[in-house]
This record gives sequence, C-alpha cells and structure tokens, in this order.
Amino acid sequence: MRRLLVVCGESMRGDDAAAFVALDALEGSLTEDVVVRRTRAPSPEDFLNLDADGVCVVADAVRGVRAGRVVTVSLAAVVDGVEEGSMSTHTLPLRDSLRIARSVLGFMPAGSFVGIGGEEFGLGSDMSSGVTENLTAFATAIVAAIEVALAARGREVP
Amino acid sequence: MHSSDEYAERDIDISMLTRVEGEGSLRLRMRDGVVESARLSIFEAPRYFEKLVEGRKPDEVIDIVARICGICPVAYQMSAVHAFEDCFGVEVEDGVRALRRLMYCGEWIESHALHVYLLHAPDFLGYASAVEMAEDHADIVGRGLQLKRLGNDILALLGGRAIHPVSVRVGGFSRVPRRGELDALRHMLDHAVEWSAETLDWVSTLDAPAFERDVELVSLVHPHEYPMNHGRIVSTRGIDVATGAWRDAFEESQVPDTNALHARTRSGTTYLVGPAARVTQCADRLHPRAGAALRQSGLGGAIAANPYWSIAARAVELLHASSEAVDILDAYTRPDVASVAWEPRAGVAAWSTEAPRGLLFHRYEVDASGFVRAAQIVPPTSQNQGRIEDDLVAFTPTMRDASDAELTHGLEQLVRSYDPCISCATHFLDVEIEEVP
Repeated sequence: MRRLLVVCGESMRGDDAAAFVALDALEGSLTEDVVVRRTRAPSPEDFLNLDADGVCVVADAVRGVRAGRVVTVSLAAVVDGVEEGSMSTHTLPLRDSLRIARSVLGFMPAGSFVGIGGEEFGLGSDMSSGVTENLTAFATAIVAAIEVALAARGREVP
Repeated sequence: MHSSDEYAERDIDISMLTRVEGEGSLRLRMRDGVVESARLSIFEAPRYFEKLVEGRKPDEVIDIVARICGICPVAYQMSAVHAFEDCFGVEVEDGVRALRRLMYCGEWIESHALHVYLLHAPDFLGYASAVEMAEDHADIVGRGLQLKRLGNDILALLGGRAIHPVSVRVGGFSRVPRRGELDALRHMLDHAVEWSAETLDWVSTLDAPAFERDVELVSLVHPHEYPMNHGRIVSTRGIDVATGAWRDAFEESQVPDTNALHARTRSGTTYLVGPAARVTQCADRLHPRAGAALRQSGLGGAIAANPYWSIAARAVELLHASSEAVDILDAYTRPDVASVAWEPRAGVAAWSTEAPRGLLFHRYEVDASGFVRAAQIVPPTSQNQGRIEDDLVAFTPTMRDASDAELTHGLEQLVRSYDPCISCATHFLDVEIEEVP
C-alpha cells in the first residue's frame, strides 16, 4: 500500500476518541487509495504492507500537550526520540512498534505522527471542550501530513 | 562462576520482569543456596470484575468480562456465554457453534503468535526484547507479525473489533458474517497454515534449558474435537468432572502478599493449565496436519515435562487453529438466524472454556429475571501461579553455579514460559531474590 493511515484510540474514553471522530469528519475527503487501520494502539503489524515508497500517518490523542493543541512529529523523530512508555502493558509504545516495523520492512516508514492534546481519558468520560473545539484542525492536520509526506517523496499530491 | 560461599551470601534483585502481560513481582527466599519459597506477588489493585457484573443481565456481563483482558477477551466471552446458555437451556445451531470456534481460533492465533515471536523467542535467541531480535531476524519476526495480524483480522470480522469484541450474545451473535466476508480471510489463512508449520519447524531448532518435572496437567477433554468450548475437565492424575463443575475438583484461596487468588486441587496440589496440558492430553484430537507435525517434531514428551517447551505447544496450536479455521471457512453456511430467542431462569450458570493460556472457569448465580447475583471467575494464570512457584523452587538449584545475570535470565525465562497474563489475574512483575544467610 502507498498510503496508510493508522487511527488510534478508544471510543469510550473521552478525548481518546478524537482520532476516530476526526476520521469520521474526513469521510469523503480521503482518496480511495488511503488504507485506514483503526486500532486501540499501533502495533508493528499495522505497518507490514506499507510499500517502500509509501507514506504513513499515525493519528492519536496524546497526554502532556495542552488540550486541543495539534502536534505533528515525523515518524523518524519518534523512533529516534526518548522511550515514552505505554499506557498499557498489553501494547508496545509507538516508538518500539515503529522500530520493529522498520526492521521487518527493511526501511523506515515515511510519514508523521499527528496528535491532539487531551485531558479527559476516563472510561465513559466526555470529550473535553479543548479537543472538541479543535477536531477540525486535527482532521486538517492529518490530511496535510499525508500530503506533506507524499510531497517529500517527490510524489504528485492529489 | 560463583563459589559456594559467594552463592550463600549473594542477593539478587531484579527490579522488573519484562515481556509478560501485566504487572507483578516475584520474590524468592533462599537459605544456604536452597530456595525455601517463591511467591508471585500481584500488587495491582483488585479489579473487582466479579462485583461489577452483579446486578447485570447476561448480555451485559458478556461485554463487561471481555474487558478483563485485551489479549484474550474472547475466552471471557465464551466461558460466560456458554455458562448462561447451559443454565437457560439455550441450544445454538451448528453454524453458530462453528463461528464461535473460528473466533477462538483467531484468538489463539493472535495470542500464541504474540507470545512465541515477541515475548518468548527473544529468550531463546539471547535478545533483551523483540525490538532487538527484529534487527537480526526480520523474516522470523515478520512471520510472527503476519500471524498475529491475521488472528486479529478474524476477531475484527466476527467480533466487530479485534480488542474487546462486541458481537457475542446469549443464543448466538448480534450479527453473523456473510459468506463473502469470510472469503476475504481465506487466502491469508492458507498462508497462516504455512507460516504456522514453519513456526513449529523453527522452534524445534531452539535450545531449551534441561529442566523436567512431573506435573499434573489439566484441560478440557472432548471425545471428538480439540478442546475449546466443550468437553470435561480432565487431569493427568485422575480428575474428571463436568465442564461446569470446576469447584468439585478445585478451590481458590487468598494467599499473603498478592491480590490474586490462587487455585489448587481439592487435595491441595498445584497443577498446570494451558497449551502444554491441551497438547499432552488431546494430541489425538489435533487437526491431522497439526498432529502429524507434532509427531514429526518428536517434542510431545518434552512439552509435557519441560515448561520451556511450551513454545512448541503454542506452535502446534497455531497450526491447529489456522488449519481448523480453514476447514470452518470452507464448510461455512451462514446461519439462518444470528441469535435464537431465550428466556432467563434462576439457577447457577457455570462453564469452562480453553483460553489461550488455559482453562477459564466462570460461575454466575442468576435470579429468575436473569440478573446476576454472584459471580466467580477463575482465569488460567491464577490456576498456574502455584505451579510457577513450585517450578521456580525446583529450577533455581539447577543454576546453583550460574552468575547473577544468568540466574536472573533463567528465572525470567521460566516465568515467561507460562505466558502469564497477570492482567487477568490482576498486573507488573518485579523479581526479587533474597538470600538468607
């Protein structure tokens, strides 16, 4: 696949649903060749079918960033960054998932992580106002990340 | 290499055991080089699922108990749904029964691939983690990831999503797939059979520590099929009770320093559940392809006696599950109805099924309106904890002359051999070894 969008979160945990809501907002605006994988947390196998000349964007809510603020970090920077740990002992941190994927694929997936700062992650909690008010910006950043990654590879941006 | 004097006085403190599901601690007490006791301490706060389901209706319970584990949610759903259906006298049609086995095949594939390739194999090959292992063995790790993804794809198709699926209902499913939807999996399952056979070939080449013990193995045993959802609870030492009669042969007790209950036989002995128990007791009911591969591997005896060879048992079950999944897909006819009607009745709903890690018992006291009034859930890791401790006591002297690092690695590898899901029993494993002079 040439374009992969990994959408992460838990729809029942307040702001953790942000990427899913953003994806719903993007319906119709993503090109047909974008393969979407919905997951609780990214795993190495999510990246297995990515082509060497493909691009990948991972979207998720994040802690440690002001609620509603959208951040974009290259996947390469995530891999080279500090170990961030995982919210669950049943999942790998994104950094480790990408490192395993890089080894298995034989190349570093090109693309970005797009996050939106959240503050409400409790089971059954509502999405915070900060996230709700910035979902459009989050969705726009996801699309932009795909286009920027493709452009960086010298591809025509549709 | 240590002298005896050095060994008698040394302390080994391992702050964290990685590559297990969940969090807990392990404490060994040693005197004069002999292990006096070993205790897996589960210090994560109790999760209270048995209280959470009180006052809930059966279909709510099925979705709630799936939340106990992100690796084996289907197992919790299966034990619960069969318990309620048995209590209410609900008969499901063969197509639904086959889909439930297919769902379990997906979970076994996903869980076993995760453990074999990402959690256990690094021990055998000398890597700290799958991240480092993947750098040198990309093809092997890639094969494991393909299997794991296929298992999750099966769960997502049948359950609505791979983690904490939501389709299982008393009487059947909330929705059953169309033939065409299953066809999408068929091609990949052919690959999965091939990858699973390669997995067994590969693990057969690994070197496992020489450690054998005589242990009571417990699993469901069914006269005609490899055990998943039906059968009797049978042990290698004579236990033979009905699927829902776990309490006739076993009991749980609270032990100090842990928030997880321990299970033992009524006679007070520890026992082992899981892939090694199933493969040992039910080898003749494996899919013919898996049975032949097991015989060819020559590992049947080692699987029964040596806990490290549980990696081979999981590989055998990967081949069984992928092969059975192919058969189910090829024979699939969409059930006429997704779910049959049912009426609650007062009684005790009790059933056991085979989670990837072993026997999983559920018992619910239900009132005439179908509300749960009391619940008991006994996960496989709770049942294996006592056996793990016994094996640690027996194993440690075999490494008397090992360095601290070697002993630490040996103990961690042994614990990982059981694929403990501490999250199910409750989470985090620190290992602390105390030498008492």
